[in-house]
Amino acid sequence: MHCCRFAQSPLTRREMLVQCANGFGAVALTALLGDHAFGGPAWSDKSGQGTAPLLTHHPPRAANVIFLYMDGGPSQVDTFDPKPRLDREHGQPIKMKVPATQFNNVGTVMKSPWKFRQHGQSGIPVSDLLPHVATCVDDIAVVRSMVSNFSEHTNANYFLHTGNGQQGRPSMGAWATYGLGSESNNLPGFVVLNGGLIPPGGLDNFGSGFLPATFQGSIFKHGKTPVADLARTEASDELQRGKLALLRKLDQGSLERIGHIDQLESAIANYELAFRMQLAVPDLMDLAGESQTTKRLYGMESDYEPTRIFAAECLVARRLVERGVRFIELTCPNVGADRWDQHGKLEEGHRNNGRAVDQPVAGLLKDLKSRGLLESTLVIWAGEFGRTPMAQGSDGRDHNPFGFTIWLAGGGIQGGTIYGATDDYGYYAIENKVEMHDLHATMLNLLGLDHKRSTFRFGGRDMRLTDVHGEVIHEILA
Amino acid sequence: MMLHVALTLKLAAILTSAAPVVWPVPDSGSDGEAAEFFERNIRPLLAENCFQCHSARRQRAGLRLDSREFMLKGGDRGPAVVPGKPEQSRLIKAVEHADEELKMPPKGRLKDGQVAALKNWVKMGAPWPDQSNESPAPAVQEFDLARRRSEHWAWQPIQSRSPPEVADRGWPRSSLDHFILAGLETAGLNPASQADKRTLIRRAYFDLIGLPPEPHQVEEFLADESPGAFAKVVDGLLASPHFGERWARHWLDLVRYAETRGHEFDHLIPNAYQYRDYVIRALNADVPYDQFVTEHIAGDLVEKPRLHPTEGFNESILGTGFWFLGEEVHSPVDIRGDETDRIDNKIDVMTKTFLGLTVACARCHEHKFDAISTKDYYSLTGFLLSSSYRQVPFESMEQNRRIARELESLREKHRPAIVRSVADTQRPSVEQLAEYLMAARDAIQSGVAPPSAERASGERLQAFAAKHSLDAERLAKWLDHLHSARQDVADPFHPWALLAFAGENIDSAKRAQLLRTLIDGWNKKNSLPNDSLNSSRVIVDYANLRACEWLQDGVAFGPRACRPGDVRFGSDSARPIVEIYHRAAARYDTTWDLLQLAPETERDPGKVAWLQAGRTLRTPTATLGSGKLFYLTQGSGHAFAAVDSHRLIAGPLHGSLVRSWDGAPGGKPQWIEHNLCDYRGQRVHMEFSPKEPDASKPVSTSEFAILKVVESDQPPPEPPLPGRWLARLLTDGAEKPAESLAQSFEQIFLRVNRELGADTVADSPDAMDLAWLANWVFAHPELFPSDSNAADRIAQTSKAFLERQAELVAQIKRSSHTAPALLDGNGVDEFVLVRGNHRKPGERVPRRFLEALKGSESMADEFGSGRLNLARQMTDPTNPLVARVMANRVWHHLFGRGIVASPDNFGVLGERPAHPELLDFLAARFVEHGWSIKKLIREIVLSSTYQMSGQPDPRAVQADARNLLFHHMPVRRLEGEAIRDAILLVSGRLDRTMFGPSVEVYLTPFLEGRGRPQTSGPLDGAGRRSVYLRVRRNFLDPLQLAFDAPVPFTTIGRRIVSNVPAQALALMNGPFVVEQAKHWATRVLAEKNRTDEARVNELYMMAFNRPPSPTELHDATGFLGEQWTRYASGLEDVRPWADLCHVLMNAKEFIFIQ
Repeated sequence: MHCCRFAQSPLTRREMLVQCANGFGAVALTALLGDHAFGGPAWSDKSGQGTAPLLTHHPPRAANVIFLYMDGGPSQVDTFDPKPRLDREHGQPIKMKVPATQFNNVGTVMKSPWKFRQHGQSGIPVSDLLPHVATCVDDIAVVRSMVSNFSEHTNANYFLHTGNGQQGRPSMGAWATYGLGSESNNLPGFVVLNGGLIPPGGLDNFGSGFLPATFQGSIFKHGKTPVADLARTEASDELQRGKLALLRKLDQGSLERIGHIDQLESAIANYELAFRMQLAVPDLMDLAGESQTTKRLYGMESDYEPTRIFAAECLVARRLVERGVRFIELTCPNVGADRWDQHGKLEEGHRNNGRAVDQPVAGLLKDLKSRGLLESTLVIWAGEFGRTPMAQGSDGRDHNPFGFTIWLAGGGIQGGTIYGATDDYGYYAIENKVEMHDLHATMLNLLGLDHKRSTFRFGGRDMRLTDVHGEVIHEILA
Repeated sequence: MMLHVALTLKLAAILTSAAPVVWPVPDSGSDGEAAEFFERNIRPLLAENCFQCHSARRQRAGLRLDSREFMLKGGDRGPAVVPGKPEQSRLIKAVEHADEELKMPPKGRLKDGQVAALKNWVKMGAPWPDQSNESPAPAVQEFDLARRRSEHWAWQPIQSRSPPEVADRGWPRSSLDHFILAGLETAGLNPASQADKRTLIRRAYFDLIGLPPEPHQVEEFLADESPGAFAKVVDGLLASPHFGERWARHWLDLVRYAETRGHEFDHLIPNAYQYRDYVIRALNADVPYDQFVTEHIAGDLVEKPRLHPTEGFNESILGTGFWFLGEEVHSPVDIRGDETDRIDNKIDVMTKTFLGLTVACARCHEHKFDAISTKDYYSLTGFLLSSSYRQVPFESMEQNRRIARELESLREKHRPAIVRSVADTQRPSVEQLAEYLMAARDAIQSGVAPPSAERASGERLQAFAAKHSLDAERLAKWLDHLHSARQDVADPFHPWALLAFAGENIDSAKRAQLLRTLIDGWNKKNSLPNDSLNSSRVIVDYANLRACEWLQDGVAFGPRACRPGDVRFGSDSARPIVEIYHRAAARYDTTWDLLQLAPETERDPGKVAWLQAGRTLRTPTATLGSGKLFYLTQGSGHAFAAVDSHRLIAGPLHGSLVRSWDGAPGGKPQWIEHNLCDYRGQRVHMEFSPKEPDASKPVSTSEFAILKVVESDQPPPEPPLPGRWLARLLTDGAEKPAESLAQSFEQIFLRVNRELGADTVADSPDAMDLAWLANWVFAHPELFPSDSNAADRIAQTSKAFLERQAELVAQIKRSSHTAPALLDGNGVDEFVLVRGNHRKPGERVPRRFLEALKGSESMADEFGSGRLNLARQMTDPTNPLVARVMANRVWHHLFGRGIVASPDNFGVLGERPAHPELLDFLAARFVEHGWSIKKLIREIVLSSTYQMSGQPDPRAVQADARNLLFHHMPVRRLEGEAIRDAILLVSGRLDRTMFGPSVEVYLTPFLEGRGRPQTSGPLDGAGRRSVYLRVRRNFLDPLQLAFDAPVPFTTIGRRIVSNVPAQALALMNGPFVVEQAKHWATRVLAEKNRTDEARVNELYMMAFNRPPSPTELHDATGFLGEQWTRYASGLEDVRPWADLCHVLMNAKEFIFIQ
């Protein structure tokens, strides 16, 4: 599953001719888009836009998305949402009605083990858990009033990724790629860099649901073999080429015998794409050409292995952006204990998870910025929910979908912004609540798409990433 | 804008006045100041905060706030504003955030000043200036089911018409060809030519059995020049066991077949493969489709289940397994919300699969396009609320059901004679009861005590017995018994013992007082239940049960609740009756301790880990009040409370739904508390099972009964003892001499004996007392001995019975596999959930089928869910959808596109039929031919239309590029399953074994995540056909996914055919394909002494069912030579051959059929 999906539609015969004329690899974006996307009438409504191909509903602010998925649910009150009341009432029973939680093992109010300090021009407070990201706050819009509909990881993961709590809907990366195509002709349009943790709910978080399989997230693993079945099994290039040559003759014969049918031609062209990918991926993953400074910036030289893993992911993410890949999702490395899901031992678990991602994320933001890529790259940092302000048991925090923090940066985002607020405990969002659908609507908006017109007809409905909901959060846009 | 003056009071006064003032309601305007206040403070506030969701463009919760009229009308919860009464206005409550359930605006509270302004405005009477200048609200289109029904083609009856005339009479082979040809002729087009025989046989093989023909099969077909040659091939394929495998895979796509529940830990759906095997068998047996549908909906309820032809097991019930193939959450916080999602998926799958309708769209609102109402949706959900899950021991259930029935009638038949013989043998001792009671009393009072010591010497007792002409041994036993009965208030002779030990000289007043105390005690005990159960609510009382409440999985609890006087039979001829029951209860028959699971049966994950299959009692469904439940039970057992049908008890939450306990000593009834207070207001039913028999203990340890289930704040009182008889006896005997009291005892016991002998205990008004006493006598043979040949007489009477009983018990089918299936419950109706919100139940809707098809009449069935009725209505030939949808699916699989191109949606948003007459013709034929799928396929495959070649007439392509008129057979890519199976077939590694547990997923390094199996399956899936590979929701086979096998979450009648590099990479570099290529090469080299040309020829015949062209032959041998050179090895090297095989598997011709 989820391996090696290109964003390209099945190539039509016409497209193949274009390709042949230019030699493989010189396929224009417009050709790639072909006639596949946005089949619904609402989506393809480009009236009044003249004859030039306009691929988006409005001018995009971002061309690519990097989604830093913080698996397990980082605690908002220990990262970006300081709550002095927790210090004051530490150890006391919480003075509010507590809704049912995942484990229902409600302890007393627990203060954050980390100190908050203000950073940057904007003075946005960040806890000492994330000292590197803290240096980037002026590029970040912190949304403190995020809410979800689910307390369970899996439902919440599906909801965050697909806008629906059940299995089977397309992931937001699939929607984005379906909507915009990819600008890479030898890499998939939606790449998931797997740092080691596959979220609860499994690979379906990156699925294409009812969209064509083409738009599924392709999993690139950390390590020697990043993509399944990518390496040739033949002992030498020569042996492989011999086989491919015979194959080409055979297939040519089929075309002559059966006729030049689009489906067949596309399947033949598909082998060329696969072959190109066989070359492109090793090149992508080979970081030897990156400077020492760059590597250090990301934390590639950290003495903590999870940091090095996530650093490599972030660096590859930048390289994917450079290669035109539309949507890149990063999953967290395994820090030994658990994902950001500290039902117990919050301090230790969050420290390790923070340490794994903090410097690489900051490095990514700075590197993108210095290369002028941040302007056109939307970076989203989010977990599926937050955590409770009171302890679970004595030293953990339970799931909290009622109010938590995520942040966005880059393409079209107004840095140095804080949006929304939770109550004194940091439990419920009380001001400018942001729902998942709003996040998705905002993301599509920045990519130049109107979420209400981005539909796909399935099962008797025009389906949307945002279902029947979603409002763009204009307040955090630049 | 000019405003009418309607208010006379000054605004300033309003704003400062604290007293409630009732304002005249302005009809069409307000005075200037009120208007200004509205325009300045209220309208902008509403516009900014409310109109987004509550105005002309959107009406969340059915509410609009963009006019006064809409505000007064309100939404789902009622009016938003009561003019003049802010405290009664929902709008105000909402903005005040006073109610947990209703906080508006949702994204954050308004400023205090804004809330105050709104309050004041309502207090003013909610003045709203004239709206004449504003754009009128667009008329909301009313949902008109009847109109939609009459306007859309799919709802119309099937019109069976004769095939149209065509000009080219030579072309059609089948009636259906007339429809196609007529269409083409009308468009002035020609059908493609007849496909050549090689193409045709390859096409038919893949379409019908999912495998390519082998070279000799092609040769036979080529050699057969008879006109029926192709029909012969087709009939052979339809008869092949592989037919069911091929078409079952199509079907499994519809029912989102998977063997795990997905979600976080991907728990197993135990024995889901039994459903898969059921589908394969049913398709192979060509079970009439209407029956197949019925089995899915109500296979557990059909009167005569379809039996497996050789194994004899119940096939029909396996169909109901499809309901449980969906996703399931292991620890949902919102358990009811989770239930509504699960049910939604079931309705979605059911209605798409069988009806081609998207009924689930009507969960939140009337269907946007189709004649399907929200009531339709919720009336269907009621069928599911009335049914529950079980793992059914389908292999044993029919046989055991028969045995249970026979056992029951056998017992009914023999019981009167056996109980009579028992009663007869006891009667002489009962007739002496008074004598022994008096003698024992005398003995006690004359100091012949303590009895055991006395018996040791024996002399005095012997003398004493002799004096009364009684048996000394028996008298000694009576003395023993009275001695202990003195301490035991529950003993029937307790009062007698007390009086006896009180001494000769007890005066009558003292005696009366002693008896009075006892009587009061009895009375108190017996009157308790009625008083103290007042605060309790009986959920189910097995002493007082409605027939529709008797629900169980299996037969272990007998045909009905046990009544007082019912007996338990044993197998000892001297003692055929083991016990006479005195309490009504649902009583487990320990005969069924024999039941066990077949060895590799998969068990349910989670905490409901005991053996439920075939030995579970299910209560009716109730709605929890306080949530504190008490079960009155006997013996050791388990209870599972199914709240909102959630049953995957495997996470941090909901462990409290499971309760296990040990029986009280002596089988005494005890109350078991089960605290479900967290689930107040939610639906629940209980499932009770005895603890598994413990091999180290005698069978009777699993004696298990449920008497009653109540909900109560307090622990209910001890269940009443059977003592009314004694209270009466003592009341009557209080003033009488001892002889008379002894006579009274004897009379009672004689009556017991009489009624037992006449087998009338159960019918007596004091059945409990009589049965208890009868059993007491029975349990004390030392006090009521029988004469020496009594045992023989009883044995004589019971001989035939016991022999037959033993025969029947020996026939019990002990071991069985299980499968997911439905268990019928009592009838439960659902409420319309307003806008799909489970926290907002609206009107209750009775269970029924879709209104557009069957009208709105309820078909609720007091005895259970009524699913059988539903199935009958669905499959009634007057319902056009079931036949049409299936006929279209068959067409879809044979042509790559249905006559309706959206096979799962025949609604307004689906595609229109390209050939409506043809579709109806096929649907009508389908029904006419007994709903035979095979006949339908045969008719289509033997048509000229199916036998067209893939090369269209260029003119036809120009005129109809999408081939809507079917002018040629489109080239189709094979499904992933067929590709994999074909690879295995040519490599010689295909294992044609059918059925059984799935082969575990081969775990590539990319298959990661929670719930990953401990061990990987084999790379080649053990050579089994793809349909037998395990489908794990979270670990789907990458090869199959690459080739578009659907993610199993809803009905997929039409797979996407995508074209992605993962396909090329898997075939080029995937270890499975590389390995199979080597096997294939080895296979083709196995036969020695053949030329390379002959071998290449055979490879082509196997791969493509045709010989290579001379050029291809040349290319292939050339390639072999080059590879040999590259490997720099000898001609014995297999690798170049493996390379050639690998290339052939990668050829497009291998994975496409023409």
